[in-house]
Amino acid sequence: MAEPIVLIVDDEGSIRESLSEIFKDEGYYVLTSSSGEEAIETVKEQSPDLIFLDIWLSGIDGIQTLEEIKGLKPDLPIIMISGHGNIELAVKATRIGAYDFLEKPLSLERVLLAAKRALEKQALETEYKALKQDLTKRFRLIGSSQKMTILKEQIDMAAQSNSRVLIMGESGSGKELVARFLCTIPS
Amino acid sequence: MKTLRFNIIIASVLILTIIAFGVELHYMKLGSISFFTKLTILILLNITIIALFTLIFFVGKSLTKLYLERKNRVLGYKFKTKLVVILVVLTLIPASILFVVSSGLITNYIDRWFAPQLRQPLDSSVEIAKAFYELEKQRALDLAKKVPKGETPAGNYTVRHLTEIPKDSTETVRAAFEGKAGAEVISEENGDRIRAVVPENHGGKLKGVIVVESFIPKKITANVENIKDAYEKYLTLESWKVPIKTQYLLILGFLTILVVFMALWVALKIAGGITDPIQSLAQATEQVAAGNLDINVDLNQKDEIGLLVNSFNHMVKELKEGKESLHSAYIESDRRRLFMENILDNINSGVIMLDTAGNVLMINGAASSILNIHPDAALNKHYKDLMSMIKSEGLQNLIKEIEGREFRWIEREVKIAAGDKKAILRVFIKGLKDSQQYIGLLVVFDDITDIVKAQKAVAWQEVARRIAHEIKNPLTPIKLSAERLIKKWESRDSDFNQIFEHSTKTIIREVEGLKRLVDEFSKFSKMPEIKKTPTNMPMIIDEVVNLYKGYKGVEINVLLPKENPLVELDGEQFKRVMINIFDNAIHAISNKGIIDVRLHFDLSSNIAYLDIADDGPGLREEDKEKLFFPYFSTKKDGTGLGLAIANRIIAEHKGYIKVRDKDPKGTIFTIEIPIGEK
Repeated sequence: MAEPIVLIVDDEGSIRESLSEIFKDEGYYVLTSSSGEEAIETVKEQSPDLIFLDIWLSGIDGIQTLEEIKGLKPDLPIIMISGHGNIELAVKATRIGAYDFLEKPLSLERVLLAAKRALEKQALETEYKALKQDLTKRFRLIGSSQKMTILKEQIDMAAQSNSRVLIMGESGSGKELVARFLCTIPS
Repeated sequence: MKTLRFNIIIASVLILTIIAFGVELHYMKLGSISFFTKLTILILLNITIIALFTLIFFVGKSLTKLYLERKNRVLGYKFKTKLVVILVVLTLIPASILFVVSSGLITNYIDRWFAPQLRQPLDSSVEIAKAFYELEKQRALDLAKKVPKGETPAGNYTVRHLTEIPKDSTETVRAAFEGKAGAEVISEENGDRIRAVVPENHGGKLKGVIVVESFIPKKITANVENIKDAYEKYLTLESWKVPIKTQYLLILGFLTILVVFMALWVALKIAGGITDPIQSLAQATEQVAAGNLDINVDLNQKDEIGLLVNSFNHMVKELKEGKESLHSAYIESDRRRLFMENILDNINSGVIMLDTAGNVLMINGAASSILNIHPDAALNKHYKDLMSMIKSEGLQNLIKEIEGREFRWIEREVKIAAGDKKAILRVFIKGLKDSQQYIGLLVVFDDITDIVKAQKAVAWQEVARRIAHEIKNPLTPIKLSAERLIKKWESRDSDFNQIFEHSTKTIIREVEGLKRLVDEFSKFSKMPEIKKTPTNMPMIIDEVVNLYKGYKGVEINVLLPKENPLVELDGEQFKRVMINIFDNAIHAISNKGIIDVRLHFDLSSNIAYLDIADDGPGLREEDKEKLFFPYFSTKKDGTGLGLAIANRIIAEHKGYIKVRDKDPKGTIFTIEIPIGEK
């Protein structure tokens, strides 16, 4: 796996600098932004894997920035950092889709751990999605004969209903295939 | 009662009639006239007299009424009297003249009927007729006496000799047989026969009688009879002279008096027709004056008086309507007044009204509870008495500022101490004008102690939060650098030396930042005391503007007023304020743009205004509130204390800094400070 890209957004230069150094030590590729607007641009252009976002920014604030980035890339993990731990704000940020909420002064261990976990979760999610994709590919009904079309229509109908379904057929005729196909159709 | 009066009247009329009859009979000497004629005359006379008395009665009644009215001075009596006198005099003069002349004429006329010239021929004629007959009788007698002597009468005399008394003999003939001569006149169909009879004696012995007769023809006797008739009629007529005269005079007198009385009556009627409505008008007016507006004068007349009465009725109606609408307007205004009083008593703001002399006209409940004063203790007192109950330097300064000066309104926050109660009030004072007249002063104030406390609490929370933020920010790099050092040290990395230097530099830098922060804060809390001196403001402005001449892209326009009063301020501190605001402005326009400085004085309210306007992007609404809080800054390198310090300095000058948007873009800072302590 290539080195992960982390974006640090904070209006304090010294914080950006010290965080960058830590991540660089750990082998991350680091991007920095001093404002929300700049961060959104960076996300659009460079597609980072992880974002550290300060809540208190000049210009548009952290929460707004969070909303916009989530609008662009819903799966991108974002960790909020704040100078004044305030539960309301934390809840709000989490509801919007922030992965974690760290309080200043930041601790090296916590920052790295949060970044690691976020990336791991991100990786797992990606893997899960790929597998799921695989699965649906494997259990596919092929063919477009009249019989197959009728079968597909019947499966559709069964999927729409809320009742139990009994699938009957000779061994090897594809009962399991029909059952799996049925499950993939969203009711 | 009425019948009794009626009876009395009838009785008196009867008595009067009887008396009149008696008197008349006595005076008129109607002895020779027939009873029927007498009765007619008497009845006529009495009808006239009764009519006269009736008229006199009614007129007398009216006159008595007039007299009573005069005596009681009933309204209109003068007019009535005048009218009566004028009309009576006017009619009395011609009527009496007429009466005198007519009565003279009538008397004269009647007298002439019985004039002696008229009677004498009649008398003479009668005498002649008598004499003629006497003469004839004498002549016949003479002739009869001569017959025995042998003479035979000539002419139309006849002579007869009678020896015995005929059966149809007259008295004269029988007398002759007894020896007595006589003559007589015997009326016959064709005329009168004159007969003379004398006795015929033959030697002293009566032989018979001699009768000599002559005949007077009808032609003569008829004339004699006519004369006699005329004479007798004339005599009868003459005996009627007095009653006829009396009758005529009475009728004349009655007519004259009738005319006069009619005039009197008409005068009374006319006067009544005018004064009666006036009287009822006067009574109605009295009623109206007494307050009774439900009055209506009833008079169905279509002349000027009717017009007057109609106008009066209309006026009373209008008056009533006016009074009613006035009453309803009064009720309405009273309701509004109560409503207003209710509102004033129930609002939380204190309201005091002063009259032009400065006395308290009105104080509401909230005012008395805020000022800790009983309303009765404040009402009608001079405001200076009120001031003595409240200890407040701010309020006294405010009053000094506005005393004896014309101003529209003024708003100020002042601290007061009323009794043991301390409060902060926002006072609003407004001069009240009624179109042009100054009518008093309205003072409205709110107890904003709690609000100020809450605001202060909020402000300090904000300050604390900002300080925490400002301190936490440098703490993060310090902590991270230290932890990194430890980590690197533990892993004995080759670049440790380099990292060590870098990290310690970071830590030192951040610690210095923290120190600076604390220094600023202590500077803010320990501001030098201001020393006010009369200062020339344009000079200060000039000095500050000169400091910014170095900015190439910045254009500074200064607008100064004509008047230039010296302003009580601390020049150095004021310069600092201006510099802080200028720094902000320059930052807002990013070193490129126009800054307008405008100074003007409002001498009437004793305030100097200094506007500093930039044409930058302007402020966000939420930032405007926080602008003067310590540690608020939109600048990356700002301490957030510049405007907080400026605000404090101006507050020490008892002034304000206000911020508003500039059209179309930009921000205007306005500094308001009192010109002088007067």
